Amino acid sequence: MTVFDRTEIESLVEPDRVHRRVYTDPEIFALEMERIFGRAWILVGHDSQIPQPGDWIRTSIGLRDVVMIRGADGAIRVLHNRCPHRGMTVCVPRAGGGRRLVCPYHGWAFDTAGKLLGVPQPGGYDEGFDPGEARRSMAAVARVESCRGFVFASLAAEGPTLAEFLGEISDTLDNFCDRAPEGEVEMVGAPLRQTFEGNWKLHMENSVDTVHPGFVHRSSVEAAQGFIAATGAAETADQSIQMFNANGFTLNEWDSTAIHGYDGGHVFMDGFYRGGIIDPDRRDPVFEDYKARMAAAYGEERMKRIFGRETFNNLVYPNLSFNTRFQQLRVIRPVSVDRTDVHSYVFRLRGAPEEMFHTAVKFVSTANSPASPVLADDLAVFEQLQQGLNSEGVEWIDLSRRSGREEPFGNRGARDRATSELPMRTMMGAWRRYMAAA
Amino acid sequence: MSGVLSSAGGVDALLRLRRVEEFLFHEARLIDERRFEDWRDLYTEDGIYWVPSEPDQDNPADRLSIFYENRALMDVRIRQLRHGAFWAQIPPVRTRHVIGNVVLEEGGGDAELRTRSSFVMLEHRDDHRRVFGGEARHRLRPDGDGFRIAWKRVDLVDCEGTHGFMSVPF
Ligand code: FES
Ligand SMILES: [Fe+2]
Repeated sequence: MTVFDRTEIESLVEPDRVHRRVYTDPEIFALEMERIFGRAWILVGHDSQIPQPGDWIRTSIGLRDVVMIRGADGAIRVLHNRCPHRGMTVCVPRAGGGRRLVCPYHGWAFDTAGKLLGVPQPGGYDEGFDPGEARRSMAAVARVESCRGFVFASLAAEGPTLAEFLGEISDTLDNFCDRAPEGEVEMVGAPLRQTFEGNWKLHMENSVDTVHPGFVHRSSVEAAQGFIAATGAAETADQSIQMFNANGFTLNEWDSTAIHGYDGGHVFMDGFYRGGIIDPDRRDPVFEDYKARMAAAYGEERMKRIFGRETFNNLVYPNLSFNTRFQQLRVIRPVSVDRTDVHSYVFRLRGAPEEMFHTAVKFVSTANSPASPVLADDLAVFEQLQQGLNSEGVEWIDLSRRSGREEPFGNRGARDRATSELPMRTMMGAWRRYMAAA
Repeated sequence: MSGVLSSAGGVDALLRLRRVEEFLFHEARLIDERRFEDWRDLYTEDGIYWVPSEPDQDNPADRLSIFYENRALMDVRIRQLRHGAFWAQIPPVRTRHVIGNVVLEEGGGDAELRTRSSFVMLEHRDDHRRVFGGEARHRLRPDGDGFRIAWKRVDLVDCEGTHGFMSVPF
């Protein structure tokens, strides 16, 4: 692998522009896996996926295949999914459970903490063979911490704690869970899995790009408007149709909401949906029931503060995107410099009426299915975007929209009108710091 | 082995099966010929088109779906398919279905015929070729000489797999 010197990396990201190699160069991608995905805290799952001791799921940190497992002691660990014997993948299905993990290749058996319990026919090894030795165990990922049930892992033994890493964006993760009367969410079912032929950063940037919907999503906006005009269905329109329609915001309307970036590369945008079932202040029996349960759990004051923290997409750098209002969470999984998978999950708010969950299921399906009228256009654009970036004809990507007009926000953040390219500059600033640190 | 030829109904059952097959072939042809409005009009007013994202999914309300559309959502999708700026369809896909293994199932009574069939759908778009396939289940209501679709569920063999964007029904 090419050794990049620090100045070469730093020269790829200027305050208002980025070199196209950041999105197209396989060696840069390899370095990202080492310096960003190898160091940052990466979401590996949610504790509700593995409720019982011994339960595990296969997941990943960058390109590393790992297993998130609940130990016999109840603690959650993240292990490299690689047998210490000769390298076999130990956990092959997507999920499983039991008291032991047994390697399919030669039957070495491990406990739920990854420690070797024994090997078949131990007499084949010399007396000095000690199953208790660390090198005989499945290797544990360096650090694991969780926040409100969301399990993060870092491949780096040293670095900021999860709380330091998240900084103020942890407010929105709290808000995600506080919206449950019991203060907890539960990940339900399998995710929707999408893939596109483009760089992982394109998806992150796009989810906080408020200029694109009016162009990219014009066909679904106008299809929804056409349907509403033809049937007079505005008020009673299906939830999904309301969502398509909501992308029809004008740029001035977008600018009435704000977008925020933190030094760590995390970004969030204010909520913007109005009307119908997606209205935060809607009046319907289900929502009234939900509010009553929230008020009982938290008291009126605290409930108002929870609902008042109204955000839309929230990004945790480098690859996590979630929506607190509709219990949606996306993990952006880089595959190669020009291939990315996205897994989209839905959560149940514990203690809320079940219909709230059905609304979330519909939201997540509408916005994340590979057949979504909204997402299909985004994915199609990412692929053409990647093609465009492959051209050497122009070297730089411009990120100067509303540059310098942001105002300070929180301890280490900035905010501006939602049409600003502040989020892209924020994420590229973090990229440059991770990538330049030897 | 059981089948129409060994069933009590004999020739009548065979003719009924053939009518159902011809209807399913017709439905597939409407999609392949991009006659989407005609395809939608095969559905009853309360008709549902469903493509689950998990193999044994039994409730569309509490699991994520790839498609779960009533007539209203079909209508919006078709308006989008007709829109000049639908980027996922520039250029449009070309598809061709092969339908087989059609069987009539018990249940549903006279008011509703239940069928299972297998399908393969070839798709080409912009130098990308894909093959989709799986099982379709239909609930058909007799209507004049033909049928209308009250419910159609498509179980892709790779429903829980990773998919690129898609925009036409199977
Ligand atoms: S590689 Fe796992 S037991 Fe041999
Ligand atoms: Fe979009």
